[in-house]
Amino acid sequence: MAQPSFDRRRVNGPEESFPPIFPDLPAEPLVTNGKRRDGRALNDVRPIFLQTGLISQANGSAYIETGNTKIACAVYAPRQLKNAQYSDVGRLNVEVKFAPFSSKIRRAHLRDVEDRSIGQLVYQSLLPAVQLHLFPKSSIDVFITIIENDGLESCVASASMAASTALADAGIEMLGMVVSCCSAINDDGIWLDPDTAEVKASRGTLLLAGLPALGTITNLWQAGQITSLDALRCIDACHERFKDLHDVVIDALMQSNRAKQAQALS
Amino acid sequence: MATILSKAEKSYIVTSLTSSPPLRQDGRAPHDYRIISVITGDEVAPLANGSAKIRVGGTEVVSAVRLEVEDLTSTDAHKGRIRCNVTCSPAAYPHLNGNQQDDIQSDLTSILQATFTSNDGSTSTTPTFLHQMSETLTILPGRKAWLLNLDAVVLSDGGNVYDVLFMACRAALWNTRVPKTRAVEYRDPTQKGVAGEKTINNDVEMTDLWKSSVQTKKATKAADFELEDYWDHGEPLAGRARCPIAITLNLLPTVHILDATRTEEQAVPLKLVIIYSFSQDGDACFAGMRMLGPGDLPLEYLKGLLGEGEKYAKNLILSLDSQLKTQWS
Repeated sequence: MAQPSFDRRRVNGPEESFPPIFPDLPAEPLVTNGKRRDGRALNDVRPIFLQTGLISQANGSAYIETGNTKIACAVYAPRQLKNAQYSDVGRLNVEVKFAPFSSKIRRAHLRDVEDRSIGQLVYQSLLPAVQLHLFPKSSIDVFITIIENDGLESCVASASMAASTALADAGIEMLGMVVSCCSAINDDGIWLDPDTAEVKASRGTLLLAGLPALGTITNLWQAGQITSLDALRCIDACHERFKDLHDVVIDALMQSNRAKQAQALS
Repeated sequence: MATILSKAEKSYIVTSLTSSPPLRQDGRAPHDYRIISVITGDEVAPLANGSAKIRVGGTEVVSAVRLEVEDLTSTDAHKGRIRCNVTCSPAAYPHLNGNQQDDIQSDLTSILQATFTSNDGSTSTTPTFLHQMSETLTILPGRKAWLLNLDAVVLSDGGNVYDVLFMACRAALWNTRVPKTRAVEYRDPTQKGVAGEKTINNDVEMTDLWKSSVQTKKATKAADFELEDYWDHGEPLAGRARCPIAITLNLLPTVHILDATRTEEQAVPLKLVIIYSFSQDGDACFAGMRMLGPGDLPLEYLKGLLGEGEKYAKNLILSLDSQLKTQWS
């Protein structure tokens, strides 16, 4: 069929196609004997790999990987705000982009709605930490590319941590390092750092971001239906992990600092 | 109205709010709302299935519900669902350019849509208000359902737009009447044991069959449906009493204020938007939370606020419902 949107410069699929038929496999239970499918306990987060200096041309950058979630983050800052009104505080820009191959369903190469809402959440997590009054007339641009996505909530949490690490790597002054943890609640209890399947099976999700160094909370996001008691338990469960997550971020920054010093000496 | 406040104005507002007793520019107590005016039904949008207009001070939101029949076999959805959209009138944000207005629209849409989207894969046993609503919206299980379009227009923003938006949506959903339908089945007249043998297509009523999930096998035979009565009659949405409501707490280090005006909103460093859904027994349940603004707050303070917000939400919902019940039973 000649469709009006047919573009011969792209690789077009066949005219007719049929979805593959999969046999109904019995679903793997999400929790067996208090262990999740990857062997961790309910209140464990997936192991985190965090390193700075992924993108050499950026002022600061970081790469984070937790389970299947893979995120690259680059910070270009401070940049001069041209053609804009004078402003005595800097502007923080967070842009999130899903790679086309990041999800089960292909993401369009154009900007979609979800990019904006995730960007907003990361922005809110970072905003209270960044000392924008030290950067008048300038903008701080944070670009986040989600290479692989396993659980939207964990993407936001990991992206916030990667972004704050990259901001520190770029030498932007902050009040503290932002860490973030997410949880899903189900009849079985609270699962920290849920993946896509676990989020799907849950009643609701809650994300908490904060500055452990100051003991304050910078972002709280909740979706689904959670009773007030469960919400407080979720908040506590997330908050308990803040110290561990903070250690991971600090460790990554120390390593990058050591590497920089070694480079300067040689 | 002032668009961006100077440092002096901000400090003036914050100082008066944090003084004791707190002072607000319009003389309200910190936890008082401005007068809420509610109009529902045909006066707002005569062509919609349900509509409402809420005005709180200078903030005005119109919300309307339009139902359309959706063929479930050709979409991913497998039951009635709600599709939300928020549009902001350019007059509401005259100081923002087109892109920034689009961003506000998409932010409001995403918070509304997130609240009104049910998690289908959930293994939880407690049904949410969305499950109840989608039951009313089902016409033929697995075949046809009403797609509920919930459209809101922000006509003007004089502060506290989240609360007003959710009030307008609750009022519009309360006002909605879903047309009654009857399943229709076609049977081959050559087959034996069929009741009527006069025409090729025999309409057999299958009242209430599709409502019980046990008899899905029978119900799937139903090929089409017909409207039982006129378009504007019908039954209210099940679970409409549990439809969520938002409370925005405007936080200062020691106090919080409700229903902030536009200028107060700009002076306050942090907003906490909490969306509550109440069950029939009055038990509160969180349906969403957001934090907005450059401020941060200690954990214990935050936890206390979640409980306080519940009280405000309960009061707000009581007064809104009493208004809705007098206007539309």
